[in-house]
Amino acid sequence: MTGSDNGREQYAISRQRASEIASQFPGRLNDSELEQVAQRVDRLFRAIEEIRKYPLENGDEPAPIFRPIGKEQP
Amino acid sequence: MSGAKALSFATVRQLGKMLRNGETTPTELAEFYIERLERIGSQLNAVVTITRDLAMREARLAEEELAAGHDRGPLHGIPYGAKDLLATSGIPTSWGAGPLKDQVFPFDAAVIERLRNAGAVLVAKLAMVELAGGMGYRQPNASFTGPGINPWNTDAWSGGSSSGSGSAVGAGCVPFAIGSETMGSILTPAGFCGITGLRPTYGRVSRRGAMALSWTLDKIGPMCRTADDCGLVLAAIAGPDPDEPSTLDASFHYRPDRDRSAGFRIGVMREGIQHTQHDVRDNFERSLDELSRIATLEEVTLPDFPYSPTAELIIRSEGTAALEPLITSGKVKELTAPEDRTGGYAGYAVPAVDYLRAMRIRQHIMTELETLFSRYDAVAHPSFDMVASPLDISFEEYRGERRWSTLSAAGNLAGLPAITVPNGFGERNLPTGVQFVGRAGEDGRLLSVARSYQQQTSWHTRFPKW
Repeated sequence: MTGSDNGREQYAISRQRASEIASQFPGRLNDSELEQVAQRVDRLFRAIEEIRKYPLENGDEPAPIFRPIGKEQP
Repeated sequence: MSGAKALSFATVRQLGKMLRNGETTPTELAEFYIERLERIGSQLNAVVTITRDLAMREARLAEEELAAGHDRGPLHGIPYGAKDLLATSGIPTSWGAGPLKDQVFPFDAAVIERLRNAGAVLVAKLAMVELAGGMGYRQPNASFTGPGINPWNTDAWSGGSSSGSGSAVGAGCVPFAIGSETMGSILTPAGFCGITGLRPTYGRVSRRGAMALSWTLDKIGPMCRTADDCGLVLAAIAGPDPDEPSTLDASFHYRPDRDRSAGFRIGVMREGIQHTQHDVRDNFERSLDELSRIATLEEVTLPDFPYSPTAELIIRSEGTAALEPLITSGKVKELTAPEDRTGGYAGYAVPAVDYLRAMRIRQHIMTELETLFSRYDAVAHPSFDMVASPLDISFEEYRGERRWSTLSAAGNLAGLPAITVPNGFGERNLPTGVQFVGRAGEDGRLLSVARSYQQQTSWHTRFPKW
């Protein structure tokens, strides 16, 4: 598969995801607007592809630290 | 400079002296800046609402208190403007968006409360990019008040999203303003308008009552004429807030008299320099010469991380969640920029697992950058790769093939403080800037570096012809 084939396939997936999103808002987006959403989705999918290359271990916690609300015990 | 010109571009510290030695009064200052906001600020699309009645009440109170010897400190009686995403009780807070232009909250944002307690006088709610740029605008005309116009060249953009804060301070319409930054929204307009803008450490300033775009990235900070003024304003607005869980426990005290003015250790980051405009590059090199009088300089590089994609995924996910009512209601259709009318939908495409992946990578970024930045008083880099773009073209078109460095994404992801100071001029007579980025929590040290730089240079004393 060539790079451009890969790009077309990737964009088709983005277009499909954009259509799914649009279906949550019936009649909201015309074809040109749907295309704009697809381009944005494609950009986000490329960002996701990038960060998926970064290796993480099971114990790697996300940045915000969860803190339960309540009085600390003395 | 003439009297009026000198007053227009006086610093907070200078105005404070004038108030205390009887050269002017809080009501005179409020009237003076309101007139400039009406006459000049409106031409720059910098103003949403002039808060005349409130301003005159606050100014009269300040006048009475100062006359009675009740001095609230350096901001007492000083007029200011607030980005129109900070709630002000009974006064519209539009978030820069046409469909919300009549939105009114019944409370004040924490920053507004704190500035009132410091005796400052709110004269205007200032223009901003709609929804703080959360819908992904791509050109300057992205606010219901029109594109932010640069005080140095009215064919150029002011920068965003704190557009009005940048141009109003730059044009001498207010002595200082409050802006906010998720990813560049203080540093960009401050740099483009030739003023000094501070992005404090994440959590340094309470965001209670401010529009949320990204809960884990939003910061509020001062936009002023000098680093010294930024310190005075930060001291008034910083500090813990029991009603805002992201605020840091530690208080911030601004003590310039106790700080160093030389002997700094500064990292120099050159990533992306080859892609900057010539003037930006030349001015940065001159800044390094000037810095070498007060600091030892050392080349640094950022550790290798996917900074920009990580930041983009976090902003789009949190932004779509934070602004979802506007998307689901269809009000986004009424936004000014065509691209903003569809920009929010894509955030639904980010899987939760990838949002969390981004946040897990972010933890690594924070740890690595703490190690790197703990070695320096600041890391220096051009504030932006180019001067402000023309009003009538897209950012991408003006940027061309240039690719910007990842310092903005890195610094914002790690919650690091940063300050931009003017360092010269580039094409079309537009300002350029140098930014200093510091270790998290070291806002005071960063201010010392920037203040010392400004003691060596005079770029912050150049003003546009208004």
